[in-house]
Amino acid sequence: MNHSFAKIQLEMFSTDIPGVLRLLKHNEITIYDVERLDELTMVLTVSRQDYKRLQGMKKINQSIKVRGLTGVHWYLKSVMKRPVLVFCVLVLLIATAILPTRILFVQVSGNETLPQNYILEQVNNCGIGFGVSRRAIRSEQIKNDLIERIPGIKWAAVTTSGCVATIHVEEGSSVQPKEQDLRPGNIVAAQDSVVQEVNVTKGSPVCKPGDAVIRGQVLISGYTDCGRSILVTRAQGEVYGRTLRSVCMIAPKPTEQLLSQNAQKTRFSLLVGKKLIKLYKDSGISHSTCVKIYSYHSVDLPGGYSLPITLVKETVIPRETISDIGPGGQDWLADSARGYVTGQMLAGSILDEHISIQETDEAYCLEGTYDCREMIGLFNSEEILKGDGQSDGTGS
Amino acid sequence: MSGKRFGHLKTLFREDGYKIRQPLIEVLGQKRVLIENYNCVLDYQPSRVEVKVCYGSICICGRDLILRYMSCERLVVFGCIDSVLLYGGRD
Repeated sequence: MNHSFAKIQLEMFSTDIPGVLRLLKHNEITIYDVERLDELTMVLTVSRQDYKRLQGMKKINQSIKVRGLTGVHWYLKSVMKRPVLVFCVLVLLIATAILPTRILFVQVSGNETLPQNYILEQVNNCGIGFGVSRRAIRSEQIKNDLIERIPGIKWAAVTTSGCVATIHVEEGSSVQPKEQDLRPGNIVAAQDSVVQEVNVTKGSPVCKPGDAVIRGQVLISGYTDCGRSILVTRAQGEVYGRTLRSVCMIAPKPTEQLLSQNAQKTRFSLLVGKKLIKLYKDSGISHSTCVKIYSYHSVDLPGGYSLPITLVKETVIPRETISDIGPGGQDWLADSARGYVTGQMLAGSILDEHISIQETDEAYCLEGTYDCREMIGLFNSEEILKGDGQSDGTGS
Repeated sequence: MSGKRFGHLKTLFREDGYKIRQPLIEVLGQKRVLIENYNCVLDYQPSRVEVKVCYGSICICGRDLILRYMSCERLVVFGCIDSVLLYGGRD
């Protein structure tokens, strides 16, 4: 064993080869692969320890020459002269030994309504996280913990494959509604209008089509008189009404507008930690004013773990100044006013509009009246009084 | 293995109690000869290896002979072996 660990091949010159062999035997030096090249020369192999003893023998020391070094010892000695390589190999070996026994990534499967991040957070609270030993994971225990922590699931299991732990969940048939969704209340008018359509799915209607209602007036009541008692429910339904909305908008004549997409420029850079590494040469902006849109794409590993590297996409859109928006600008102003009115409605549409645009030296002024058909029903939950008469502050 | 099997033959005692180390020769086919309890190497050439033992000498003749292993107790000769001759100098 020692022989194969560190071998030294020697070339020996002597007029009396058998005499040298006798001397080696007398000194109890073990030799291997003795080959006689000619009358005066032979090649032999000795171990490292025996070579040191050979060097101490005066009769032989002068006649030997090292031909080569073989064996694991010499190989390791040459490798040890390269500390970086040794360090990398050690790290690799340790990582190979340790990493397969650890959980590095956690995945979730089977969820439909429950958000993945929420499940991952609960799984982390159950003890499955980055670097956890695979042997420490008990599927039955995790299942019980998850069912207890997440009310929306009825079954869960954990499987591990390599460094990845997969959480299989099966959501319950009926997820419990939130407590706020169960509070009783009425549906009231969001603004002054004339009721056109009333659809009640729960509760009692207190208005009918053609009625004029003011803002805050109850449209569908959550209290139903059953004779001896009053049934308190959460009113549900839709009430559509006809409303009148007025808008005044002013747009300056000299304005800036974005150029077309052909003038856009896209540049990329890397955000490593807090350091931004630009992957472009200069700013490349030829316009005095521009709009920059940044979008960040982080590098994520399976399981939601983010690496500290983010790809930053920078879109530069130049702007130009226009002295007068012109007739097209007036149309744009009317469209903007229409969009504003539509955005103010819960649901509905504009039936008719009357607009007038006045032009001054510096601006256009739009005044419009919009006849709308929109949903005016807005849920208003009742305040629940506690025993001492104080409100819990949930009323809206 | 051979040392264990024939260990009882390695050392014999004369009538006056003197310890004699008897040689053990093991021939494996035509390729390998193992000699235990030898005294020294008298001659070593590619065609002839002569080894001194307690009773005389052992001569291994052949072609391309090399000393594969040589320690103070054991010697292994490899090569194309033609003959193994025993020369008795004394009892």
